[in-house]
Amino acid sequence: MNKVKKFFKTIFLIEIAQGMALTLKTMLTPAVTRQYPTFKRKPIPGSRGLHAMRRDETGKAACIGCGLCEAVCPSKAITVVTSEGPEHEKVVNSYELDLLRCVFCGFCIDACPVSAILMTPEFELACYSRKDAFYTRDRLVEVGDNYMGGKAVKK
Amino acid sequence: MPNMTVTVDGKKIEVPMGSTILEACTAAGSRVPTLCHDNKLHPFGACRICLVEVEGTPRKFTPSCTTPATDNMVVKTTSPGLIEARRMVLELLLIKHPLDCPVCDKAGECSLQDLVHEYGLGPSRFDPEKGYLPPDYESAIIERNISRCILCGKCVRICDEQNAVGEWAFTRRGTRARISTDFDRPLDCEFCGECVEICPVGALTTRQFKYKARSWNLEGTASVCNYCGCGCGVSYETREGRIMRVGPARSNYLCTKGRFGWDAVHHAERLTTPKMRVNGELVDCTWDEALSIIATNLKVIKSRHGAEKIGGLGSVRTTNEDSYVFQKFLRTVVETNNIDTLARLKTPKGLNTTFFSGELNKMASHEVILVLDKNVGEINPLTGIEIVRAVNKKDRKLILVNDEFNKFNKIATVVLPTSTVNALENLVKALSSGAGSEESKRAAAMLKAAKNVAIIVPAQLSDNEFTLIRDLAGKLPEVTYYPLVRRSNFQGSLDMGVMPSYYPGYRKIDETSTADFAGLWNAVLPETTGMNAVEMIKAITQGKLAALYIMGDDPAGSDPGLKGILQKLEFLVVQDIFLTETAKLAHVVLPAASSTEKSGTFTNLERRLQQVNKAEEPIGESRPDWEIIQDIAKKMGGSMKYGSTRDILAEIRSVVPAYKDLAFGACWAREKSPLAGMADDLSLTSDSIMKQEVITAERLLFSSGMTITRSHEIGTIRHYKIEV
Ligand code: SF4
Ligand code: SF4
Ligand code: SF4
Ligand code: SF4
Ligand code: SF4
Ligand code: FES
Repeated sequence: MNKVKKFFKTIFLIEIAQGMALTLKTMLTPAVTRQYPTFKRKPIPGSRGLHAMRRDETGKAACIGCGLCEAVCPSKAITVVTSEGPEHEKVVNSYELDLLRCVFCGFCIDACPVSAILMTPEFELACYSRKDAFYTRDRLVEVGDNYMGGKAVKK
Repeated sequence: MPNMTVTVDGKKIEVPMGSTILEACTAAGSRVPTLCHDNKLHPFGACRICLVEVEGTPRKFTPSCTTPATDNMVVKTTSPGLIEARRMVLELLLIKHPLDCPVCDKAGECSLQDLVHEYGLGPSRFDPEKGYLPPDYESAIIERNISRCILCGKCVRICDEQNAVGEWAFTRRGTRARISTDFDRPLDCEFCGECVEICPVGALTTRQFKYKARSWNLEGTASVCNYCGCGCGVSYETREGRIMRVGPARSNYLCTKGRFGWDAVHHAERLTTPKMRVNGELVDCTWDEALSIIATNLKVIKSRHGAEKIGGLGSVRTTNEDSYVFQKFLRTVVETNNIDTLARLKTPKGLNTTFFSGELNKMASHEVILVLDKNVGEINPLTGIEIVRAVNKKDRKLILVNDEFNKFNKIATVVLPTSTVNALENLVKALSSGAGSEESKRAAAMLKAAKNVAIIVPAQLSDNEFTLIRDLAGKLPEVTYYPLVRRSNFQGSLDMGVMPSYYPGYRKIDETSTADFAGLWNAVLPETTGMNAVEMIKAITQGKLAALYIMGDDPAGSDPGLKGILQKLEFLVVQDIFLTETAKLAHVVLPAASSTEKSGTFTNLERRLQQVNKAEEPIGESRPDWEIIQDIAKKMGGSMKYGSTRDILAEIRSVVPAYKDLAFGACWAREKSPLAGMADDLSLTSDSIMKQEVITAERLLFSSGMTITRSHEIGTIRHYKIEV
């Protein structure tokens, strides 16, 4: 019985016809693939991309050097080095974020008590050198400025 | 003591009579939160966080740290009501306590933070009054942030009960109560930092660690303090391989040198490269150049003048391994017994023959403590603390010989206000004939009545005093000596045989011992004993010593008179961590790794074997002392092949009987020394060299040779005088 069925299918090219029908149908429906980078998708709110640093009301980088982002980061991407300033205040000597380690979990943003470190929707992070993936505080502030128009942002 | 039965959270346990409820809970394995309680201190009962429920009492909640447990008591350590009560205690504390945890150095190890986290507080029902007083930056080393203080009184009590200093006190009343010094002047105390260590919150913090790292960044390396013979256990807390602060290894006491003086090893003037003298100037060179020059010069001098014209001065600060390799190098490769340490000039006669120290933590087991050196707390701070603890915690009697006034006067039962020698004479007289002054008679009666007595032996003794102490001890039933020993590994360098007439393990140099050691070391050994440090210095002036190898000592710094003498040497090698006064005179200077940068062992004044562990990489090109010496030995044809300090310790164990099965943390028994009870004198005397006491700081307590002068923190300590 099976043999007979197969014989007829073969001589009438049934399977080929079925395949061609699908091909023709798809040819006539609109494409869902976006032609990146010609067409870019608008990020959805809350998407986690490149980090940025907020400025405080005085225009300085808002980080107070508590090291909580560093402590919470699961991939040890952040290093904060602090010392005492001339007025006995806490000074952040350096804030470094190694994007090559980052897994974009966003824990650092949750941990920050002053919302100094934030995430932008920026996801195009390809670069030609490892150094470019290494974000210092100044670079993070710059990213922030680009996204927030250089203005201090209220918490 | 009879036991009683207490039921804690349904668990029946036996505790000794007189235990508090808190102790019973701890014994039962139930945790009760505390803020103002510490086992080191008398119960106080200030914070009320340790509330527990005791069945059948009219007051439902009882503070457990101050309330004695009674037989058949039934205690509950947790219940909804208790949690509510503890929450309220925390809520009340937080009325004033600022929420600056993100920048507070205590965060991460703060009891208040932990408890608030555990009990989970919501918004406060009170008007907060945060940060009502600015921080106090006036004192050296320690900062006080009164707004953060929870008035637990631990700082007040530790400084009084353990240190007998009593620098802190509560002032004012009610909501304005605070801890302060007299008239709020800057601290003028021992700067031990114990109050900072014990403060449960960030009210007292140190300037050294300020904003340097967060507590959770730190990794601890247990090691041993290098500043005095007590050998306190320290924990070097590092971040990325660099020390950020130093704390106690096992919640033990640390004095200011141990806690804050370590920063000397981070000093900018550390030696980082070998140097050699070219046209009269010291210039940097490579290790290979430096070591070759040393090997060649020593060989030439040995063949030209003979090995007896070469000498070595060892260190009382380096590890046992360093000292062992040093003396072995001089004996087997250079073939001289001219080996010594200058520190023997500052040692009590009879140390390691008559005086073997008891264990410091057993100080309180003696009924009477006789202090013969008023500077005990300055020379060996931990010994001083153990005396105060014995008096304050165990009610031991203290007889103090002091012709001045210091903190021990406050706790002494009897003070003999005279010199040590007079006091000893009076005591011996009073003990034998009952004659003498009122104080002497009282002291003698106390000594006579005591089952056992601890005698604090002065750091230096005249022959007369030595005899008197032995006379006195002969009249008492049981005596434990506590000789004072200044430098950290003095005991170790003696044990390792850094002496001209003894091999390691105090084997006197004679024909049999030389044959034994020649066999052990597979080497030809010099037949005669060598010159001691005093003789070596004299020999230099007479042209009888041509070359000197100094490892980790600074004779010219301790006695400027020696400068001219050392200049007469044909060849001087100095191995140190700084370009010291002595190193400036050297022909070759070798940079050594500091005790934070190498591993090995120390032997403290109790003869306790302690492990020194490396916390940082050696700075620059510096290297551990034993490695340097081994390389020179190799270049001179010696056969040392140690791979690590463990190999050396294994050899020490096979050579020195006292170390054979000595566990880390154990003290070797006096019976193990062939010199126990003998008449040998391991101290040196000289009427010309090292006469004056080198006090490198304003107070003996803050001084410990030349290294500590490079500590920035210790350098900030000043004495304040208040004009009233
Ligand atoms: S997003 Fe996550 S992985 Fe990346 S830096 Fe922040 S905490 Fe670290
Ligand atoms: S958590 Fe925020 S304030 Fe703290 S170190 Fe990170 S960025 Fe700075
Ligand atoms: S540093 Fe030591 S001596 Fe000074 S107040 Fe604190 S506990 Fe007392
Ligand atoms: S300073 Fe610290 S230890 Fe002293 S009372 Fe205040 S909280 Fe307690
Ligand atoms: S008592 Fe001695 S060993 Fe202990 S911390 Fe002070 S200097 Fe170091
Ligand atoms: S711990 Fe008991 S009252 Fe403070």
